[in-house]
Amino acid sequence: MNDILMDVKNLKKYFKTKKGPLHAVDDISFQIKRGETLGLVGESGCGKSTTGRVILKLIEATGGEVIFEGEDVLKLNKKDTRTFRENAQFVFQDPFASLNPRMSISQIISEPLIINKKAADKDDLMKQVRKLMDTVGLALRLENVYPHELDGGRRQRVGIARALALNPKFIVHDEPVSALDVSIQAQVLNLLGDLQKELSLTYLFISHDLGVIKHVSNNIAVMYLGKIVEMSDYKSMFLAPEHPYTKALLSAIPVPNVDITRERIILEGDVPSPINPPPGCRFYGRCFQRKDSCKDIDPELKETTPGRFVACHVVNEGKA
Amino acid sequence: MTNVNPQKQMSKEAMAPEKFAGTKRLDRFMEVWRRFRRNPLAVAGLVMILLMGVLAISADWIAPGTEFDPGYDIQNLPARLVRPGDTFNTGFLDDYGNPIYESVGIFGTDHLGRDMLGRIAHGSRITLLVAFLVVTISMTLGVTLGAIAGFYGGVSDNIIMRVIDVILAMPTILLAITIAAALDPGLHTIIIAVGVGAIPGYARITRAQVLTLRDQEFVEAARSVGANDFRLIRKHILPNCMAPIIVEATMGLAGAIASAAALSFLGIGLAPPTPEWGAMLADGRRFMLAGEWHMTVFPGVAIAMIIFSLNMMGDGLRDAFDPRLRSAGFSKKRFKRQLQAIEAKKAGAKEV
Amino acid sequence: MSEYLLDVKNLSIYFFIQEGTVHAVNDLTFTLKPGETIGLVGETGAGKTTTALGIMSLVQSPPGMVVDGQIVFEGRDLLKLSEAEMRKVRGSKISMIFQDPMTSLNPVIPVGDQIAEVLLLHENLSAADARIKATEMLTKVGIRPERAKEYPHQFSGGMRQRVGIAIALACNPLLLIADEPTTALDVTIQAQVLELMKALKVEFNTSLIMITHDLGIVAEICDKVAIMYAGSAVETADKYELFRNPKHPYTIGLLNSIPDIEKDEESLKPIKGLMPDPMNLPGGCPFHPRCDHATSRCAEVVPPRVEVAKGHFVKCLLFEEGGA
Repeated sequence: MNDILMDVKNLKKYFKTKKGPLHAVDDISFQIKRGETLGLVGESGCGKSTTGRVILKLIEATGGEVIFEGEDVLKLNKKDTRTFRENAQFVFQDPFASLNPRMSISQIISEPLIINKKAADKDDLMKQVRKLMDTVGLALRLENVYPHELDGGRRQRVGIARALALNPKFIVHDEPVSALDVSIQAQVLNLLGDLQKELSLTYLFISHDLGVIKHVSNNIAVMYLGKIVEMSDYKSMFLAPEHPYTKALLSAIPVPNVDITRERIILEGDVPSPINPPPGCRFYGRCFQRKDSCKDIDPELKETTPGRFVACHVVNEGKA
Repeated sequence: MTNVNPQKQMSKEAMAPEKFAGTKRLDRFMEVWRRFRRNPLAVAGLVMILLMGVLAISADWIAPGTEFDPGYDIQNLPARLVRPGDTFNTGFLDDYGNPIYESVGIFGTDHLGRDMLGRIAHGSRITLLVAFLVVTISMTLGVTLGAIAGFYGGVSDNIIMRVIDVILAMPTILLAITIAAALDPGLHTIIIAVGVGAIPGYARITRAQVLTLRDQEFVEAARSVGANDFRLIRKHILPNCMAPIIVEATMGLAGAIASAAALSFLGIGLAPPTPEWGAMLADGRRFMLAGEWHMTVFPGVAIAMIIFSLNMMGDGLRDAFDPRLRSAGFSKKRFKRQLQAIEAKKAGAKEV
Repeated sequence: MSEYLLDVKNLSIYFFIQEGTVHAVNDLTFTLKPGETIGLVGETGAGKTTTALGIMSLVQSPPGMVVDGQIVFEGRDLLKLSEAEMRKVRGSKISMIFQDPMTSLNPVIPVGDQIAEVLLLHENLSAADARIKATEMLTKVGIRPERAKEYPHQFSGGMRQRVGIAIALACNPLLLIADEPTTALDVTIQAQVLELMKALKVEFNTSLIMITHDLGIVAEICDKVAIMYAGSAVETADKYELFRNPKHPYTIGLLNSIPDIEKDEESLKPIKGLMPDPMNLPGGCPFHPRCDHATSRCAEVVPPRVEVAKGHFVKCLLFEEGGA
């Protein structure tokens, strides 16, 4: 067995719309090593959530391969998909919307165990539920409480417990802390870090918050309009971003420090529509380093230095 | 990544200030009841319906029928058309040769000498039975169809909703009359005739609810742990759209009663001598101009009252279920007390 | 008239609901000079938005009520004004930018007309002049004047927020209250909007109350900061003083909770526990159940507002005059 748990190759997801195909995810490839975290960052509409859903088969892919432990999950039949779902779980963004308001905490956490027949009897089920609640730091007295009675942080812990119920190897976190206040966000981030170590989990962590992404990730992939524009380990990404979009994104974050003054790159305009994107670089219209050739030819994601991939003509030519 | 282990997080959790100690499903019902209770009209409606239920259960006891007293289903021609409070000549003579006069039930008697109170009381059984059966059957069908249409969409949605549209295109009462005329008279006919017209309401409400719920993250979350469609609909979607369906059902009871009464009034509902309120109204109509007001007023009032009560209750339920009103209840008492305290403080400051 | 444009003194706003009394704002004090920007920072339920609505006299009453305090604006206590007088202040002297630019604009009126409407209400302008001024405002916020005829749904989130800014600044207000104006926007768009607000603030010489949960935005745009916790400003200071020399344990905890993109930290140091229920605030210092420095006195004594350095106020018993 190699140490790559998840190998995504040329993944595509187009949605049909009245105006034409919406290129939500357009030919992206990445790998995640066992026990590591890949941070997927980008602005709204860049396709990062769709990516997370497609690789867990929550929505069907248009093309590409998702190799999980040597098998292409996109080709699995119904029965094998079930086994795959036990190994790969999803934690949702909105702790308000992702819990059924009519089910109590213990019912929510026990559901995956019941569906997949993982409990011998009622006592065994409750024992497992209590153990899960303990693992994510939920007091046992909350087992009969309903989601609306909990604060956002605890609700997110319930969502995490549900994802852990089937003992997965891989978890996709879709903006798990963006709905939480900073002090609670820090508690949940620490919990996710602890769980990863203790249960040797592999994460795909999706977020728009670069601070959070940097904190949790080993590697980071930056997405723009359905494409990965830059991918590298978290340190070099922040120290020396290469793609102009990454540069602008990093410079746009307001930093809570009055003693650091950073050069700010203000991008023009808005993110263009992913419906019928033009040929050439997706970032062309907003780029501050663009050349004429960027307009027509779509830059490929190329390894500029070992472990670092950039999709930009300007950067790649500079290196060549 | 960090040195805080979950166990320590646990203890923090345990230390955090708490306001709840764990609630059960019952408390959810209590919450709705608490808000319902604040609406006096809705409570009045509920009380009326409960009284009607008591009337239905104790119908035999209310109008038992004796030797002289006309019963609810016994013809007693000497006692025809006795108004409330009047007496009638029994046709018997006492020991002195005088005719014996007897009083009748407080609602008087009808044109066949049957006790009106007894007929109203026994009629409430039929009314409630028809209403509940109609609602149960049309709700089950409507909710199922609506859930399928909303959840699967596409072709099934198209077929189901077009059939629903066809039913909706006909006026409810005409539809009921057509169905009732085509079938043999009887209880089942009335239920089918009235019930078919009620299906679209449930189907449309359920479909709209399911459409908003099916894309919710908690449904997706259940799917991601392996739940199949049936479980998604039954466990995750339907329980979350019960509130508007219950409201519709309450209003539906009222509608079913009105339609059933209308059919009987037109003579295509339950056959005489069944004490159906609508049929009683039709009987009374012939004697209204002769001054026999009690034969129309009592069944008329009974129908109006139960429909009014059910609608009041439905409105109250709708408000009680509405999550937007959940914490809007404001405390007049404390608000006023605070206002007075501020006034007093101002006044005190002026005096100084 | 004092040197302050706005002087909020001991403001308390409660909501009297069936379940209990919500202490949304408690004894809040802060000041704002002309042209200055203050950041009101706090987590959900800290009373930031209620404070803003209180200043605008828009607290829904009942169940809400300003139970104590003063809001002195240009030397007048806004709380003593009649509704008619207040209406003249709102939109012309004090205006507001809302968090969600989609719901704060009317979907069926072209954006140009929405700006013109404010001008017609408050300035003595003809309809034609108002329309001309409205297109001028659009140009100022970076929207091409020909888009004045378009409807809100035809604009992106960032553009809509620009329209919101144009409406708020149309009457050249003395005070602008921005309630999380960039929370709904992406980072690169947020940077654009913040840049615009900075520039316009100088151009219009407007004072600004920036309500946010993001300390980064405060460092970016504000002159001073009030850290809010449970409806009260636990620490108020000049921006540089606050970030370099935070005093209140909550402020320090908040700064430690944020993943820092400049540093490489192994683990975050979150504040333990949860925000208190505003219906049932702990006695004494509201932060004491979550505070690492709490003593038994903290549960009993409400900490007074102490000036630890010039213009740096802290509400914490650790800094009590003559005390520990």
